[in-house]
Amino acid sequence: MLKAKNLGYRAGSRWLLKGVDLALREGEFLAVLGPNGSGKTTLLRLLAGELRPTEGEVFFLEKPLATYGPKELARKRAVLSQSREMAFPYTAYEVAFLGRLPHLQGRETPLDHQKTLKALERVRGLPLKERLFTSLSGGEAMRVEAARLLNQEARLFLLDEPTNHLDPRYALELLCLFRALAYEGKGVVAVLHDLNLAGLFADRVLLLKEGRAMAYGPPQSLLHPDLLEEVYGVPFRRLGDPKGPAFLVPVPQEVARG
Amino acid sequence: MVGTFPFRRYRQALLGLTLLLPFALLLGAGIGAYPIPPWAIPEILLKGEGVEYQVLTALRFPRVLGAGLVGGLLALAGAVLQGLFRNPLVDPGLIGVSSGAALGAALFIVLVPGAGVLETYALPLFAFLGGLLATLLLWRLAQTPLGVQVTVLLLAGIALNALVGAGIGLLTFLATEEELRSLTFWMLGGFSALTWRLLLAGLPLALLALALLLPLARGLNALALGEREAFHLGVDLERLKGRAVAGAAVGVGEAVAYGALLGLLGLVAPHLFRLLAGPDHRYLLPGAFFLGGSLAVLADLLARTLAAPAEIPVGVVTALLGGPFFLYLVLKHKREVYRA
Repeated sequence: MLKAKNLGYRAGSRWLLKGVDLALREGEFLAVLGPNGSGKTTLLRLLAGELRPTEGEVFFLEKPLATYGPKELARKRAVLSQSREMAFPYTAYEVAFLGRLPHLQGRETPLDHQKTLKALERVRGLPLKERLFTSLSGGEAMRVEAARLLNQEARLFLLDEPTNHLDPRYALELLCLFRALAYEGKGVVAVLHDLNLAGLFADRVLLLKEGRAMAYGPPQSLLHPDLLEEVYGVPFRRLGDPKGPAFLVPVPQEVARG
Repeated sequence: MVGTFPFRRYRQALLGLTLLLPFALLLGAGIGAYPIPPWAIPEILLKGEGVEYQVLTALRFPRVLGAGLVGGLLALAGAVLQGLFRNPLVDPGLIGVSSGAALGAALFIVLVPGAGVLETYALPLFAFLGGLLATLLLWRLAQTPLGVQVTVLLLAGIALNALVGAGIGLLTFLATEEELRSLTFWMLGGFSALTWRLLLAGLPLALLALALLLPLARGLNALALGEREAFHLGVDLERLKGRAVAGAAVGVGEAVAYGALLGLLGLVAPHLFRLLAGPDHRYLLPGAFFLGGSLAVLADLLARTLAAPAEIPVGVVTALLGGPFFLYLVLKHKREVYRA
C-alpha cells in the first residue's frame, strides 16, 4: 500500500535522507530505527506528504503521494506527531472529535459523535472525555490522541516516536493498539527508539544511519549486536533464551570489553 | 443524548449572545440626547412618521448599526487571528491593518489639505487601502518556499507597527494646527460621522469579510493542535492562512474606515466567549461577532451619554473598560498557572 523508491531529501546542501527504499503491505507494522539525526522523522514527514522529496517518489495506494489533496490524504492516512501542544482549552472529547474533520461534509451527524465515543472507548479514554486536554498526563493525552487517529478511519498510520515519555504500561498499551490495527489490515509505520519494543511489535525494521538505509527486513535477522554496534557506535549484548524474543541491551565500551 | 454534552454550553452561550445584540441595539437606539423608550421603538418604526421616527432613522440607526458592525468585525477578526497564530494574546492590529490604516488616513489628512467634502469618503477609503497594503506587504515578507511562516508574519508586524508609528509621528510634526486637530480627532475615533451612505458603501466589504472568515472554524480547531497536525487532518494550510489574513484585513480595515479602532475589543471579546463556553471556533466565531457587536454598541452608548452633551472618544471607553478586564484575565491566568 505504501512504496518509496530511492527517496532523498536535501535541506540546503545536506542530504537528510538519501536512497531509501521501502514497501509496506496492508497488515504490516514497520519500525524505523536509528540514532538521533539519522533521518527517521524526515522519512516519516516525507511519507506523510508534509515534505516533498528532493529525489525519488512515494506511492500510496497505487497513486503518487504528490497527487493527493490534503483532505483526500487525511481520509486515508493518520499521523501521530511528537508535539503535544494545545493552544486553547479544548476538552479531550473535542480533540478526539477532530479526527472526524476530513470526513465531514457540511454539518456533522450523530454518527460522527458515536464514532468519537467508540474511538475513546477503544483506547479506554471515555472517563477523560470532559477533562481539558491540557490537564491530562502524558499517558492520558496519548490515549486521546490515539482516539483521534482511530476516529480518522485511516488505512495507514504513521507514528513518530509514539512511546516517548510514556511509562511501560502506556507504551505497551499504545503499541498493542496499533499492532491490533495492523492485524485488522491497516498499515503502520512507527519511528521507535526502543529496539526491544520494535523487536516485539514490528514485522519489519528499517535501520537508518546518517540518512541511509543500513538494513531492511524482519527484526529477528536485523537486530543483532554486530549490526547495531555499527549503526549506533555502542556495543550491544543479546539476552533472552534462543526460542523467546531476544532483548538487546547497549553496554558501555568499558564494561563490554572488560 | 449522544454528542450533545460537549456542545450544550456553546449553544446556550451563542443563543444568549444572539439575543444580547438586538437588545443592545434597541438600547443604543433609544438612549441619547432625545430619549426614546427602547420598547416603543418597534411601534414608532411601524408608524413611520414623527420626530422620534426621524431621530431614529436619520441619526441613531446608522450609528448603532455601524458600531455593532465594527465591534462584530473586530471581534471576529481577533478570534480568527488568535486561532491562526495559536495565541490568545493576539490583537487584530498585529497583522498591520490598523497601523497601515492610520498611516493612510494621516497621509490623506496632511498631504491633501483642505479636501473638504471629499474627506467624508476619501478618508475612509485611504484608511482602508492603507490597511490592506500594509497587510499585503507583511504577507509577502512572510512568504517562504515552505509556505507562509506565521512567526515571521508576527515579527514583521511588530516591526511595521513601529515604523508606521514613526511615520505618523513625522506627519504630526509636519502638520498644521488644523490638520493636527483632525488627525488627533481621527485617531481617537468615534461613530459620530456614520451615515447611511457610508454604512451601505462599506456593507459589501463587511459581508466579504464575514464570508471569508466564518467558514474557517473547523480548520482553526484543527490548527489548535499545531500546523503539521492540522495538515495531517486534511486542512489546506496555505488556503486557510490566506483567507484568514485577507478576511481579517478587510474586516479591520472596514472597522477603521467606519471611524473607530476600539482598543482591546478584538482581543477581549473572543476571550470572553472562551470563558463563557469554550474554544470551539464553530461557536466562537459567530459568538465573538455578536458579543463584539453588543459591546461596541454599549461602549458607544456610554461614550455619548456619560459626559453629554460632550462625547468621550469611544476608543477611550473601550480601552478604559477593556484594559482592567484584560489585566484581570492575565492575573487569573497567573494564579492558575503559577498558583501565586
